[in-house]
Amino acid sequence: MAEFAQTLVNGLTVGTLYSLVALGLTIIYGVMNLANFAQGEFAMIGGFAAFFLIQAGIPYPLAVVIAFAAAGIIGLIIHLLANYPLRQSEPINMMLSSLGVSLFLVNLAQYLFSPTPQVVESPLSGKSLNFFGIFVSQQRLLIAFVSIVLCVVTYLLLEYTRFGRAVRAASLDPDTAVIYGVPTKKISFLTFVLGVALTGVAGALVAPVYYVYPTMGISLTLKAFVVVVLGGMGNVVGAIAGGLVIGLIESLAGGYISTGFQDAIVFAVLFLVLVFRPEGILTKVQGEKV
Amino acid sequence: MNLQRLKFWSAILLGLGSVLASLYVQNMYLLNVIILAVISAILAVSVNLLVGYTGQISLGHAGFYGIGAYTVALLTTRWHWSIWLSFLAAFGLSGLMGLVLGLPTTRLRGHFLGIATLGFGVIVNVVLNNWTSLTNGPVGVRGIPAPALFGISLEYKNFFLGFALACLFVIVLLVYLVVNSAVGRAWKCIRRDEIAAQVSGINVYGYKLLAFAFSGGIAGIAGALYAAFMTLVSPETFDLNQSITIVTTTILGGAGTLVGPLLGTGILTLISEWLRNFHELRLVLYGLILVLFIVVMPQGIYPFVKKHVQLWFTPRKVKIQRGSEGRHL
Amino acid sequence: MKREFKKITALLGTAVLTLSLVAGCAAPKGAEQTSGTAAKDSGSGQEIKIGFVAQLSGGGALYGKQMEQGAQLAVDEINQAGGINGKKLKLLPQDDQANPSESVKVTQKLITEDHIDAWMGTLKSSDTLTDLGITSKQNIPSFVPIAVADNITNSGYTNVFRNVSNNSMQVKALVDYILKNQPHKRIALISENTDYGRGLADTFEKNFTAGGGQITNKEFYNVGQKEFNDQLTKIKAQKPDAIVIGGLVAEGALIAKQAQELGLKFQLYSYGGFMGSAPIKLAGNAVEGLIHTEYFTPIKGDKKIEDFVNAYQKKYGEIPDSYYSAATYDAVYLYAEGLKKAGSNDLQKVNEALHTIQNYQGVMGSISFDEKGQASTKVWIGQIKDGNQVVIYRP
Repeated sequence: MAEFAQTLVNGLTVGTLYSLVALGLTIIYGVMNLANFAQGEFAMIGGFAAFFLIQAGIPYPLAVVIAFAAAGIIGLIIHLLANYPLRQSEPINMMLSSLGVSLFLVNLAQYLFSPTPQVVESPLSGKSLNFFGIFVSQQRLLIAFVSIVLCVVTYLLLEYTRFGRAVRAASLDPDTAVIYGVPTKKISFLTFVLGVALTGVAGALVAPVYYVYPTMGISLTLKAFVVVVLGGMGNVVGAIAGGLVIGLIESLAGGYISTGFQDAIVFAVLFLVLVFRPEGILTKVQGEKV
Repeated sequence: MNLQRLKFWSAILLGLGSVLASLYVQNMYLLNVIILAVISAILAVSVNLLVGYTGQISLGHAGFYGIGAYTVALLTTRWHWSIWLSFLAAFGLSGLMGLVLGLPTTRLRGHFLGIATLGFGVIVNVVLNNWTSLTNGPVGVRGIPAPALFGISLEYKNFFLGFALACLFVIVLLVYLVVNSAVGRAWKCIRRDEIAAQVSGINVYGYKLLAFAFSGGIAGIAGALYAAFMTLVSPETFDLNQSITIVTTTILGGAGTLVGPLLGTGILTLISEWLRNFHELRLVLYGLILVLFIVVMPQGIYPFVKKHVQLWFTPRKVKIQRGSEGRHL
Repeated sequence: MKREFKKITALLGTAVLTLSLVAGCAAPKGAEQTSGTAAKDSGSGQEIKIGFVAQLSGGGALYGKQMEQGAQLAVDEINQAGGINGKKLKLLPQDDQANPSESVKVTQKLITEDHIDAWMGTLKSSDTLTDLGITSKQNIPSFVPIAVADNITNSGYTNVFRNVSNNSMQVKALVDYILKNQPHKRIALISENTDYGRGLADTFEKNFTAGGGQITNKEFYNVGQKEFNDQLTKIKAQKPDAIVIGGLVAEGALIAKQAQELGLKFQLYSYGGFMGSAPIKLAGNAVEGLIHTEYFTPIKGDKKIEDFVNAYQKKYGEIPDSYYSAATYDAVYLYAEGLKKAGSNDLQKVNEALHTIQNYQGVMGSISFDEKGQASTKVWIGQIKDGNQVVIYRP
């Protein structure tokens, strides 16, 4: 029983992390129609930012905030150089360009910072809570908390602000949005920066749990993709739900089937979802435009 | 028409010529590089059938590649099949897997299809890695016999290169014939506008499935060649990176053209080998060059070059007329 | 148009005819590795080139980098001391991305393009074995300082030298130590899903159960994985006495840390891949008490080791804490020793000379190669106590 409860807790805590990375990915996808394969690399940037800031004596909470900004600024540069010129061409080209960006960022980080994992200390690292034999690390609780807060904030931002309405308009139908005076270029620009900056926060948050190293983002990108597809592309609530579902499936599969086949099981579930509900688990089915 | 024919026959001659010439290459490093490039080219041609001709994306082609390679590896070492029979089996099995994968996924499109095929690639890789009783797990399978053709052992790398090149040209020829048949016209129609294709009575689902199966089968042949060349297979060769490289090569070279994937493979191989001189900065520069290529020539290298060469030779008047015709023609 | 077409057809026809004639005259012969000495006679060339192949990008670059640094340090030291036989050594590093076809490609490049006199690599046993298939055709002296799979020195190559204990040797040392000196009888295994990890797990299980122990779990994880809670929760439920980690630093440190966070308080054991100061730095008190086999520890009191550690620290600003840099450092010196004994860089002579080396004192202890090229190095047992590496058993 304790084992089962622990497995559930493990799944949920990991799931919130996936949600946070997926959150950035999903809003970028919604507006720009870009499957950003470099998403995880911004977690790496956030992680390294946190590492260097803490080395410089800046307290952890402030470091997380600056990591958000750092990832955003680098995202801005990347957007101008690698995404913006491709805005008119087929979506697959921008995806390929993001693959190039990912390769570039990972190897540049390795060249500049060495491949050695670096330790980032947070006030909570190494501590865990014990509820009747079920253990939860405090840093993971923090990640869960921040993820949920950021998801809610993003949701409110998209639902109730002018910017949010513009984003939704741009993601539903960019051409019509332009006609109605929505500055889609500016919107996609802001969305990309916001999306990768959120992932930068995720990087700074996981740093004390996973360490910081150049290749840390790659597996996060993959998981985030699964979550985004499951939750519906462009769907913020779906990202939260999808993250939790994937986290649970993963830990239950690992706990009760096989840790070796874990990834295969996750993707098999995704596969089934795609086949039976290609719109994702939460998105309402809309008529297709011809 | 005559020009078309001329092009066709000179391509065939070029193919024959390069197969013959390849037999005289003696530099082992060069042979290694070219053989692996030829195998990559076959993979690029195979993915081009999906990306270029039917407008579907596959981010799991390493799965077919792996299935082909492991089919040859296991059949020859475990059940002592003849290598040629196992090549056929590799083609058949990978083609069948393409069909099986296509059944549910051809209804998806865009990034959904991308992620679904990516999932297929991951699943194949995990199975290869963990079904240890069959695949030997991460250790891989060693001791795959080198094939022999007309009594000539292909253990010699230059003979193998000739054989691999011949395979590549046969496959390209096959693709050329299919693409220019009724099937190919249906594919192109589907790529342009699926709904219009449906309306005009094309069995969209069936033709897409056919593309998947054919593409899978060709990737399987690439895998078979890889297994026979390396004489060993292990799961890490057939991972997501490989899948991504295949798609990148195809699109960079020019998807939807016959020459594009070949050109893409050639150029990327050259760049990647040349960048070895830069040691630590190698992959940094490689990533940079990829982005640069895509940003400068989003339609692919071959169409880009072709367009510019043509513009060079057309008189000004025609140029202006053509300019107003719009894209994609 | 038609005339032009005919003309071109004729031209092409002639071309084909000529080509086939050429083909007929000089039938192509099979490309083969020309034996190394024929490609270059041993007298020529100002430099003696050592080809070095390892993963220098991606996840494993962490280890490949240390390997390269250790080898480079030895090369520099030897050159500063005047070189060998009047020639300087040169290290030619190549990145194989831990990919079999890349590994073969760069090894082939080193042989064909750079005409290396010796080869060293790699991080992965399976790639090493494949590359050795190429270097052995050329009879190039090949050093395997890191890869530990048993079959590398059991393949019948006479040009292969491994100056580190193989898998069986280190597993056996650990099992013997546990059975003799520790009370732990029920042990859980968690290993990476590679030939390295699987080899360790299988050999451990065989030896330990033969000695009367019991294996409660045999879990595997993928290289690059960050989340081990699922495996650890499963292990926790079985209540073993101890856990053996069969993996490398990056993942091992996370396993130890997450085990601590899950409230697991079992004794931890590990092998040469997960030891040294890096685990202490990364996992802090989570690895306190970890007992591991080891090949190299930067201990005080041994002149040879102290000199190496100081020189390394001076050059790279870090302490060589595990065998990645020490083993490649020793390997270069062993090659130098072989060159000296042979009096030239003739491949066959160097191979023969290397086999005659007896009790060479390296930083990893005394080394003699047996007829298979396997060094009979001893496996030490170390422990992390109060945040320091301590040797607790030295045969």
